[in-house]
Amino acid sequence: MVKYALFVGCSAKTNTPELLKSVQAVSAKLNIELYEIKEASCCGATHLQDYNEFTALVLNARNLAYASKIGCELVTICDTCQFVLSSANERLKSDKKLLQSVNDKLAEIGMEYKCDVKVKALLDVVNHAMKSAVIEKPFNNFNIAPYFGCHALGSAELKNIVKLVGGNVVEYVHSNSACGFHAYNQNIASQLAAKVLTDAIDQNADIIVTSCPLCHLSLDAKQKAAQKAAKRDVKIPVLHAYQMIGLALGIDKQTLGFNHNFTTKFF
Amino acid sequence: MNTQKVNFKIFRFNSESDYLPAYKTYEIDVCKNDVVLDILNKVKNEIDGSFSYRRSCRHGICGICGVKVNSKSILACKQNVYELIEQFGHDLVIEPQDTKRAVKDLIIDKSDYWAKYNSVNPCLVAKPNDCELENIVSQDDALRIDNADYCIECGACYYACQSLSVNENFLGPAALTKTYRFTSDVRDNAKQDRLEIVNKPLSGIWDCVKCYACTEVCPKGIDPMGKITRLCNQSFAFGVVKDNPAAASTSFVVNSIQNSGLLDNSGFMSFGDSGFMPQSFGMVMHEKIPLFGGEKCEKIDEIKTLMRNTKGEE
Repeated sequence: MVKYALFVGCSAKTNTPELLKSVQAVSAKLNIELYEIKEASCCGATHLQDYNEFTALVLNARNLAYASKIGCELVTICDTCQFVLSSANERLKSDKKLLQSVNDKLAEIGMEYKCDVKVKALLDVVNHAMKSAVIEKPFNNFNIAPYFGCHALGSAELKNIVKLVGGNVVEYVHSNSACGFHAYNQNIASQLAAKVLTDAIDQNADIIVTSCPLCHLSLDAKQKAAQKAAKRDVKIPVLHAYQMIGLALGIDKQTLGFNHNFTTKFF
Repeated sequence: MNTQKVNFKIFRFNSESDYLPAYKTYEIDVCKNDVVLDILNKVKNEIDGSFSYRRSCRHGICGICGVKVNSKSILACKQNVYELIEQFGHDLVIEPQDTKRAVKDLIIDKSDYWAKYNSVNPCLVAKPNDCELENIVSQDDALRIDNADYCIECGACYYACQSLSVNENFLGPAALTKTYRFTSDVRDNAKQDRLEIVNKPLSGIWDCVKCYACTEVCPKGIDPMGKITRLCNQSFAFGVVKDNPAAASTSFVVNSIQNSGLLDNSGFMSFGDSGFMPQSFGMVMHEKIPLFGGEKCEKIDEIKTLMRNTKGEE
């Protein structure tokens, strides 16, 4: 059994419960042991950074320090968390002066970060574990469009997983474009989501899968708004990567939290 | 010499005579050290003299030869072709930075870029008579500019910007980086005015969608997104942020984290538009919004202490 410290993130805790459900189900099936970092705060999602970059860095150093207490690698299940935490980690590792001033603040709550934690995406771990897994229900004849979003450039894992579950990978230009979640102006947000949805549909995708819960909210929960902006039909089911993996591994829909999805009429 | 055969599909268009653009394919042998500009020169000098593109210094300084290869923004004189083959294979599509603005082949109309550049007053505002001696800037103060002055105005970030692709009013990463170059300069006397300009709704810093495309493509490694974040910090610090709904959403994030340690995404998504209400209802129906109080992280007092104690620090 491999052990990891799980940084759940705000989305999986509140607005995308299906993500946490499917992550737990898939990890159990693949023998990956996850310890939730219960003290972890929000990573700031690039918005706390707008208010005060230093505050966000100190909170993330605290998150990393709690992962260090558990004593194993930290894994994330959200692209924005992954991006923010890993870049905070890199900054602290490369800038001794900055690390000192961050640790001065952490000392006020009796903590210290020693730069001894690795930040990884859980998808990376799952990708390796999948190689020896039994695919019970393959996605044969399905055109699956992997959507990487803008905060995860390491797109090889998701593509590889789509192949492992038997799907045809759909290549499309906007697979790495922004989903619009971070736009405060909802009109702009819908237009960005519409670009991704229409592009995937035009390239004959049957399903979109994403590794990021924020992208999922934009493409799934707000699909109707995107449809209005696109002025055409953009109906397409959008799944979390872990939901797709779960289905392929033979886990039932209830366990994977399909009742929380807006767009699952095909399943 | 070892070479590889590559199919270059190049965008061809003449705005004076053509109704639609066309892509012409050229099969060219590429050497290990060839950059994209070498290929463009080969096409012009050996195959078709009417092919047009901008080039000048060949050293990544003038910033004029920016193009896109397979949708990736690059400087033609800096980008090695073998690297592109490794990333995209042997079929490469060379296009102007923005096909909608094409004038002739790879040459685009950059007038909107320069209009936005000019609108942020891109020069130092200081009275030389203020100081009797030389205006000496300490090394620490100079480092605050954080390479923002390295910008060569190539436009790679501007034409890769996701926000701009759906909102033509957005100033774009280059003009905002230029603004930061002066708001972080200790000698500048117009910081307040500059921050007012970039705080306007629809065009300013709050309309960045945080995709980091600008940081990814910048050939000088300037990190425009980081500069935009710091402009936001400065706007709070200088008290420029007022009734802007986007800034209100940032304050919402701060309060949310202060109260529960977590960010309430559903609340965040409902900012700036009342049209989200039906979706919020749908989210309750799909049990995506907890009705009886959200979760809190453990040891919330620590977060409150840290947020209080880091307030106002850089």
